[in-house]
Amino acid sequence: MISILDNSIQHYRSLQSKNIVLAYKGSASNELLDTILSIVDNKIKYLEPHAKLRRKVYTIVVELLQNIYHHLDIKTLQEYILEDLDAILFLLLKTDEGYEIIIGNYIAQKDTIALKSRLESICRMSLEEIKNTYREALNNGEFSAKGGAGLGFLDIARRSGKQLEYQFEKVPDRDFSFFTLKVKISLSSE
Amino acid sequence: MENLHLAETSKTPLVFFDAKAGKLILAGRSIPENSIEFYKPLYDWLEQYMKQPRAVTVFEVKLEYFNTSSSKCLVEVFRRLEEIQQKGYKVEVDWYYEEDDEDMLESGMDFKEIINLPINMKVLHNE
Repeated sequence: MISILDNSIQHYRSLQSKNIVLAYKGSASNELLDTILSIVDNKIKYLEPHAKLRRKVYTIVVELLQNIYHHLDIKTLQEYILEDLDAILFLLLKTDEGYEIIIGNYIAQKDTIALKSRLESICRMSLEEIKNTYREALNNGEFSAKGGAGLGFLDIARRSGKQLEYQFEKVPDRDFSFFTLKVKISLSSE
Repeated sequence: MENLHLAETSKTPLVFFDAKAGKLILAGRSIPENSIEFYKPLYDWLEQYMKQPRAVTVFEVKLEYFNTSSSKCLVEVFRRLEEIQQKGYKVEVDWYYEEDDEDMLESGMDFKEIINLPINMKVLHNE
């Protein structure tokens, strides 16, 4: 009993460690995305002295959460992954250089190829090319059927100085993958 | 015609479009999930205003944050102002950004690049 308690305390302390600003793993709803956003807003207001970094973190979190809002198909998820209510993962960490945001959500297997190739193409571009592509898309592009502007990842890439990493993990026996994106934000992100 | 006045919320900006003065103000945060829904009344107002615009129209943009879907909607607002300019009226855009906010300056430059309107970059000094 004592060791279990010890472990829990230790685990709690590690969660309390200064570098975790916010950690969430669980079900997703639009209200929840709003709540995460307002917690991030309030916490970085007193945590981060540099207005520039604060704005970068907030703007990128908005884009990431709204990306989930536009693309997360909660109904389909509940249908297929009933036993797993941990639909999304959100982590905001304070690092020596700045911040790290890790966001994860399930994505239908059929959609992984398009997303992967979109991210691969962004990561292959230079920062200059990303900025130009963003401008072109802003000028010519249209809204997708889901209401996204198709600019989100480009915007995140240019604001973070292309500090993106991502991963797709196939869910065994299901037509889903768990998609994780990590964005690093520092004052030198340009 | 009537002015368009929308109060600021945590996700949507203050809108004050004054038809008589020819002054249009957008200030605060523009991060709604459904930007098209929010910006639709602005387009409608501009369509009306366009019929009898003032000799000079000034559009003041003082945004703190905006999401990418709002930036697409802003393009649509600018397109309507371009139309007013094409009719021979004067249109000016004042794009405000905080001194150290390079991202907001760059966003202004994005619009300057793709929009055919005089867009003046203006620094806000107070934090």
